[in-house]
Amino acid sequence: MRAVNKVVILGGGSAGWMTAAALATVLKNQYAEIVLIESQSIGTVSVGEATIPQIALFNSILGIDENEFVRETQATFKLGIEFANWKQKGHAYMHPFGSFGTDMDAIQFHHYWLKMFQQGQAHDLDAYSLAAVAAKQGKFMRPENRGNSPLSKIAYAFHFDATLYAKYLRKLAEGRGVKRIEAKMEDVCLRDTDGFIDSLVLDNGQTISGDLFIDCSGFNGLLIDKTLNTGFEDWSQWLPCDSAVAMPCLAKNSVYPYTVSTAQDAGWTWRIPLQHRIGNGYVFPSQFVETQNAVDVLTQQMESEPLNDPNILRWKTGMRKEFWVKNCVAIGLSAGFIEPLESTGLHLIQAGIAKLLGMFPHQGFEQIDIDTYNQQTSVEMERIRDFIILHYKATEREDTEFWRYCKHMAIPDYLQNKIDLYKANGRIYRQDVELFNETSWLAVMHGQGIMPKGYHPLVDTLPEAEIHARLEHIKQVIDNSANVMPSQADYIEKYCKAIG
Amino acid sequence: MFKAPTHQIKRLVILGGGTAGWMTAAALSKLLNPNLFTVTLVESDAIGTVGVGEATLPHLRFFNQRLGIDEGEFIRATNATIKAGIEFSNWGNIGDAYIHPFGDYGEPLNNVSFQHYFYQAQKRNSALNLDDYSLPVMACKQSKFAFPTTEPNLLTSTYSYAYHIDAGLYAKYLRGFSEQRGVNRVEGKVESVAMRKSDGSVASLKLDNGGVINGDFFVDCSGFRGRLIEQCLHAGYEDWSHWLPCDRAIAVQSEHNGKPLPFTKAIAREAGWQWQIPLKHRMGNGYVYSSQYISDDTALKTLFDNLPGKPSSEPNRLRFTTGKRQSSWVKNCVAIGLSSGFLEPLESTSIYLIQAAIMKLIELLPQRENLAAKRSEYNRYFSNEMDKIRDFLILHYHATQREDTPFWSFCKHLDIPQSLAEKMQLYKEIGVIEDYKYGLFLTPSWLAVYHGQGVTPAMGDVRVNKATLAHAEKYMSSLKLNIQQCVTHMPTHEHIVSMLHETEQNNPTASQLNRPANFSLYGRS
Amino acid sequence: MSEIHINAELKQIKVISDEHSALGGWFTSAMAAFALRDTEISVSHATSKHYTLSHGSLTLQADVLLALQDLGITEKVLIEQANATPFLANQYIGWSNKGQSSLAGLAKSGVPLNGVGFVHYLTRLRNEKRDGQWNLEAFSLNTMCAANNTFTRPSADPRSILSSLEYGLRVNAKSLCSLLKQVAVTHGKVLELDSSNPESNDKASLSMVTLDCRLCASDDSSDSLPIDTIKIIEHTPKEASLSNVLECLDNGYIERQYLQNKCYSRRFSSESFDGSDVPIESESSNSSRQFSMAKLASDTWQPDGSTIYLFETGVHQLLDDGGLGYRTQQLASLWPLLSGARLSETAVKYFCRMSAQRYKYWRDMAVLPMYLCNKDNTEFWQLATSQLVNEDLSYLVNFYVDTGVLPQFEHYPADSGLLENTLLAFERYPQNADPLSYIWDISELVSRLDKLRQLIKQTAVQLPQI
Repeated sequence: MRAVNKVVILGGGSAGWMTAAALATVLKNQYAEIVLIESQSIGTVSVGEATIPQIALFNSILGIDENEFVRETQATFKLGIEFANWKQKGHAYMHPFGSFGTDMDAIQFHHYWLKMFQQGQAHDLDAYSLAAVAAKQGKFMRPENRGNSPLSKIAYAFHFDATLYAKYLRKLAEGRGVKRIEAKMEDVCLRDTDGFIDSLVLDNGQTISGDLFIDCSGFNGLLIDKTLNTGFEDWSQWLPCDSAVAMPCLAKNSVYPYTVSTAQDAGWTWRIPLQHRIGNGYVFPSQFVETQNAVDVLTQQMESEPLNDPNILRWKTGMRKEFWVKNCVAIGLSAGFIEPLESTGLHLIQAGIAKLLGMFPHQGFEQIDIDTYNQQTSVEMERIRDFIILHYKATEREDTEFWRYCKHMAIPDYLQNKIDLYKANGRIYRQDVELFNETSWLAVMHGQGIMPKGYHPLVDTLPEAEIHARLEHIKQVIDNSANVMPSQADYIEKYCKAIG
Repeated sequence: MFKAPTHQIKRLVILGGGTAGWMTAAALSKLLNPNLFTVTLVESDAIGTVGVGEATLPHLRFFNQRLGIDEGEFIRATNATIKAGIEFSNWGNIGDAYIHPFGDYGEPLNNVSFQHYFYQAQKRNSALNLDDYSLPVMACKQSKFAFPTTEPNLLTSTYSYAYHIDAGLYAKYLRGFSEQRGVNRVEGKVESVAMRKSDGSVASLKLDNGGVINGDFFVDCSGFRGRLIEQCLHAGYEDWSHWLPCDRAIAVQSEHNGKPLPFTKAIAREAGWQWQIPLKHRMGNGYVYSSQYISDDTALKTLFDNLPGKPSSEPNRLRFTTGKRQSSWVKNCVAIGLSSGFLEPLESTSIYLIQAAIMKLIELLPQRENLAAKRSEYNRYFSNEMDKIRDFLILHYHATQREDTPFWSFCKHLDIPQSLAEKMQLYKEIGVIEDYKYGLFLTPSWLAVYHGQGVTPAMGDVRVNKATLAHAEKYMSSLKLNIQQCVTHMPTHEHIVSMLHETEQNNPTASQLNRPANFSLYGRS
Repeated sequence: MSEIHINAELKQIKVISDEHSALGGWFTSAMAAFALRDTEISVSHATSKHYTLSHGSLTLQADVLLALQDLGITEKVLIEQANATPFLANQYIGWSNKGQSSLAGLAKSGVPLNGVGFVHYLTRLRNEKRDGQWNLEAFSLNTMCAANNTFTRPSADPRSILSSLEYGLRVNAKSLCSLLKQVAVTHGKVLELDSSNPESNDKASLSMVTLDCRLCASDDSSDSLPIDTIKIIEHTPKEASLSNVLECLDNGYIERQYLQNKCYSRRFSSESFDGSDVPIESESSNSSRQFSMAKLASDTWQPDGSTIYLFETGVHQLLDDGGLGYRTQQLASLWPLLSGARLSETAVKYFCRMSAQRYKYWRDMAVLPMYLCNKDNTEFWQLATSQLVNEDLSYLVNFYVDTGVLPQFEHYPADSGLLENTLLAFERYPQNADPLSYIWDISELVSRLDKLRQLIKQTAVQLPQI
């Protein structure tokens, strides 16, 4: 006896259409009717989006042709994020995709590099990442099978127009049988026997019933929170930024394949390059900054005139206490929100969808599945949160009240442990299924100026000259590889230029 | 955040068939404009309805007339006989019996109630019997019956009548009536109910066969469990079992001797009472009892030992808790029938309460703009109806001299509601009975029970003295004579019943039926 | 006084009234004398020699007229000896905007159609047509006759439109008082005693019940109005009228009752507030007198077994019938409770409960016009609004406006026409029509009601002028 014959997705935007497209693809042969309810009158948040490499997996499950996808969404490629002024004003570092160097003799690369760098005998970390080097040179290509060359292991993601992405996925989803209803939700009906959601009452007079409801209704969490009273865990004491202003403009500078995040007096601005324009935004704490000031700051930062009026967003940083309650799963902003400092928004959507498909309530809603889903999702979000907090905490700046607050704030134990471990002797471990690997942690901890006291003792088994040589070799290989790569502009022109 | 429904109320959904459901459906479909309202009734053949053969009150005639139902057709469809009252035996003392009629005793003289004259006269002449001054009582005693007139000056307008019916057949009849008038009957059992988050109202019923019934307003006729009013809307129940301890009943049909009596019998037994309700072809029997005092087996044996004829069905067992729903209209749902509460059928009030609820609902038809106001007023009204009947039923139990069983001992020493205690005290002292406008059972009924169960006032009205008494005695003797003559000319009930059930064409009773009915239990209002 | 056994015989009823409450006293005496006429119980009335009534005239409705009829004071007698004229409606002038006049007839307006109250059809038309043509007054034979000064006695035939007429009588208070005194005395029972010597017949006091009808001396100001003065003016009007006229003033109001060739006005006001209006009466008045109004005082006097308090309060003084309707109810429930030398505790409790409940109704009716008045342009009316907080009336008015149905209170008369008409005279039309009234479409409804309106108008106009 099938438990789910009809899935109802409340809300469009990235979350809604990613879910719709994925479900329609994976639940084959009309397993279940899928309906998505969205309203033009409710604007969606997507303001130009950066992603992380995991998105490629998502696209491939959907059978998306990557070039088509890049064309349709005015996408550019992303090799990493540059963080400027985070450690100190005037300083910048890269958080690249891929890895630094190679591990040697089962010891992580960075321990060798640390020893040499502490002795002044190595370049800064960025030099040992092809992604970082190529990005700075405006180069890009997709990985090609070239044996041991770093060119075979190029890891990349995208910048794209999220509105166009949603539109693209909508076409795909509707093509696979998803029904779209243009309407706003007015009321919810709950089942008296178990409190499950029975149906949604829409402002067009329709009542839509379903067996499984996906709440993609954004910050309000109309189902997960307003209906099922799930509650919210607030993280604003660690991440005080709660607002953003966003405006697009035309590109003046060349389009480099990386996101730029520039720390401000309070908060940070982003620059996301797309094929047709640049997405700009300023993430700021409303406690410290007035909205009009924020608009001014952003306008000053932008490289050319804004194309639209500023789009103002407000949110609460944190996560829902539970994401799957009864027959409702929250995906997207309704599940919680962490500022886009490390481009994790879409990833969380994707991860939620993947977990749901993995535990799909085929024959019934089992509490054990629901609990597992919730536990895994909350751990994932907490780990991401901690990674973001790192950027703020590990600052050397004390030039404004905001940065003083960040530098001295108390932080979660997990993060503290990680920092302490690295500080002691450079150890970094990726735990369980946490999203960010050793590369990422290293890039940011080092970038933000945390210097360990020591390094892995086994490094000393190799003679310094040997290490030095190897490091130089790695750098050389990387430089050569970068030279071989075409410019991103050419690459896009050749394979995936957007039409119009 | 969530918007409560704003569209006008159009779709009426009745959950449950049986008498309650089909009476509601019939009334709504007859009286409402089909352009403004649709009526759907959801019932499951799988859920048995309670109908155990019923006695009714005269108000039912008004209900049928309002619906345009021909009285003859109704009587034939429900195997009905006439009911002119209820005979209560063994209530005051074992061996006694009295009839509570649909009529008054005598008439007030010079604004002084009749019973004062009677009791004073009885002091002088102990042979006097109050029964002689009630036309319906005398008629019942001789198993006679004639249809009352509406001519207010005649003796034959001073009483009313009701029916004994097969309630199952009545429901069936009303189902045909309703379906003809556009009521949509849906077969199915409710699996779950969808409730609106915005205002907690009922949105739709999900049936076990996959059907979904959407509605704007719901009538819960689902029986004791109150599927909507209690299980979804948590109205709450006011338990009255400390005042009315009976909590079970066994019902069985039996043959009768072909001479149905024009009254219901209510025979007090060891731990409750037995009913006998004569229908055309059979007798409905039942024993209402308290499980605290006797076992189910004992009750069954008592019932079967006292049947007027061979049993002709399997015994039907019921359990109930006497009481009322704390609010019978909550949000967009009104409970009608057993879902609104339960009072044992001692005074045949079950169908009356259904009718009263329906008629009040129609008077206060829910509209979006004034739902809340109508709801409060409805609850106030219905609560009062239940309370008034409750007190009158408790009276039967409490006004006893019996102590021969623990049950009767309990009743005799019952801690009764304040409202009833005051009334009884007043009557016992000076024979005054309070009349009220709203709620059942007025002076004639209270008098019947008081007198029948041996409660007489210590003192009378000061206006009864030698002079006025003499005048009254003259009136009494002429009234007695008139009544006797009247009864002599009445046909037997048996005869009436057989005439009523002849075929429709040229039915000799036709001219006596369908006379305008009113809301009085006692004839002319 | 020693305890006397409750079963001892009652020998005497003693009614006490004073200078201001003689009407109540004589009414009670007469009713007692009549009720107890066949008994050995004597009725005495201790009252003051000289009395001033709080009414010049009284407007009596069916219940009181029926009771008077029993006493032998028939309509014929009232016409011949108490200047009686028929009463059809109340006319309200200036209660919302100056000059606006509306009529509230005695009988229920319109005719029930299809078992649905008439006001619902009217509400439908008012809501859907919005052309100001649909006011209740045109559908009441009472108000049309009142407006045209025509009258006839109603017909008993329910098919005739004339059966929808109901009337009361306005009578001269002093004359009525005399008539009541005659009745009391004629029944050979009533002794008129000097109230200055109330204990003069103490021999029988042990088996005596006292009915105290004096003016209530309570200082209870919990239930108050800003009115403290009543002025009665007797004058000769230019025209007769079948309505009582109630005219709103800046600091109170005037009630005018029209008898044969005479009009009695009562002006309710307060010295503390300015009254710029100068009604016509003061110019050509024949006689006038003024006195302080008694407090409204809620009816919580606890009788013991031998004294029943039937005090006259501000409520009696406000009511156009002098509180006789209320007294009729009280006395009807009192006689059956007299079973011995004194009332039992149970009887006393019962009487109190019934009385208090009914009093609430009469009090509501006494303040009804002031309650419904929504003027707030003077200090007086502002104060009145804030003081007149009444739970029952508030529920009733709100419910009626919401649903077009009067709620069923045990202590209110069922389906009162005058009450409904008064609400509508004060613009409390229901907002929503009962769905059952949608049985006809709007054009059919317009045509039916137009016909009815015409019939009523024609009938009213063709009746004899008074």
